[in-house]
Amino acid sequence: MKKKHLLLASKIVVFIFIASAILIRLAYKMNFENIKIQSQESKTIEGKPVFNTISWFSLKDKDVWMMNQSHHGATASDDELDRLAIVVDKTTSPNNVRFLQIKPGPLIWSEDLINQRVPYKVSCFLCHANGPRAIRPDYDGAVKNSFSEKVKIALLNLKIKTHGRLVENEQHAIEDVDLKIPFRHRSKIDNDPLLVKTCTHCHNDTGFLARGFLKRQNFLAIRFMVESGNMPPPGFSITAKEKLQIQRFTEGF
Amino acid sequence: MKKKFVSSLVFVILTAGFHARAQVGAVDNSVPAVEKFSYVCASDDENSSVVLKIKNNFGSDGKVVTGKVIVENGAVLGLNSEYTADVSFENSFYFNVTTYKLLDENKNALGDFTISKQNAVMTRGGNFCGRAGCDTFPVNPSPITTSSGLLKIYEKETSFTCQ
Repeated sequence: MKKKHLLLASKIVVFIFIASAILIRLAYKMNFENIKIQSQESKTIEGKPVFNTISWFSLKDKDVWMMNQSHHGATASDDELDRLAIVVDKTTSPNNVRFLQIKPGPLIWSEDLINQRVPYKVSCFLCHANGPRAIRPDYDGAVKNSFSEKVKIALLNLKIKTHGRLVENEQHAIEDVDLKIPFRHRSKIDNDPLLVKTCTHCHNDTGFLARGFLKRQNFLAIRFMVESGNMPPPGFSITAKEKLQIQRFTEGF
Repeated sequence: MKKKFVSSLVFVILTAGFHARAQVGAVDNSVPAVEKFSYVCASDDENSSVVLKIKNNFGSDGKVVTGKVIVENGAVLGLNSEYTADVSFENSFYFNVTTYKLLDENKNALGDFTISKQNAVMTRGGNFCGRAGCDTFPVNPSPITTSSGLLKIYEKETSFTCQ
């Protein structure tokens, strides 16, 4: 009798797993274009909200994340927006990632956009240690997202998590030599890794959960994530000593 | 007439000479100049009055070769009143970090005092100015008036704010 129940339970688990996988697979067939949010993290220099419009395109060999970012309010004109793209090349292991700042325009991907690049306004790696970052809208802000949009954002975040560890495209190191604002700063101190034990469960270079070591130049994002309570994620906690270690690290010590 | 002219000339020369000498004397006897320190760092512990005054000593090539760390009220931390220090620098786009390795009289390292200045290029008031924000409202790399200091000595860690 007990064995029969066990068999039934395992069948249910397998069914739920397969059904979920099919549902998620189908869900990703939805249109993930032009989802507008108010950013929880970014602020303008005057402390006002930053608005992001996000699109995601999944192609055979790459995933493309595109964003129009406004530091000029929710109704900024097209030429006031920063158009950005993060291209995840799925043909390499680990996948490699390339960041593009493109002249203003719609969030429609085409390979030609590589030729429409403009200089970065800020080093991408300052906040993006491992490719696209989880989308964190301020749902209490000016943009009222529908239930359907919230579901899409959750699916996009799941997609971002499943990218796993990403490495920077080798073109970045070559191009950075001549850039006034590089993709990433290369000095030793800016690239010191954060070695706080709780953080390195995921923020390291190897293992199932690996998302790459956080580097000192990620200090602004690290500070925000810890102070806002987004990190560590549920199931993890940091000790007071580790919190002090993180503080010291982000201060340059 | 000629004699009177010569004596007047001698008088003027002597007067001017004494005046100049008096001026030199006035400079020599002035209040001693305030010693300029590279950093003055006060303990972040409000119950502590420990102050570290750092003076960089420059070599003939103009580069800092050693440091002098003068300690005020440091007995509570077991500190002497003065240390010489080996100095090292690590600079980047975001941080300027200077480390003073405190030495005892036998030139043995006792501990470190590190000062980190975070460049204000990308932030204002703790907020990241972001892409368009940086572009539209250029942030002045305003002179940084405060820096953080961290003293690690005798297995203790004490944080400071430096000017």
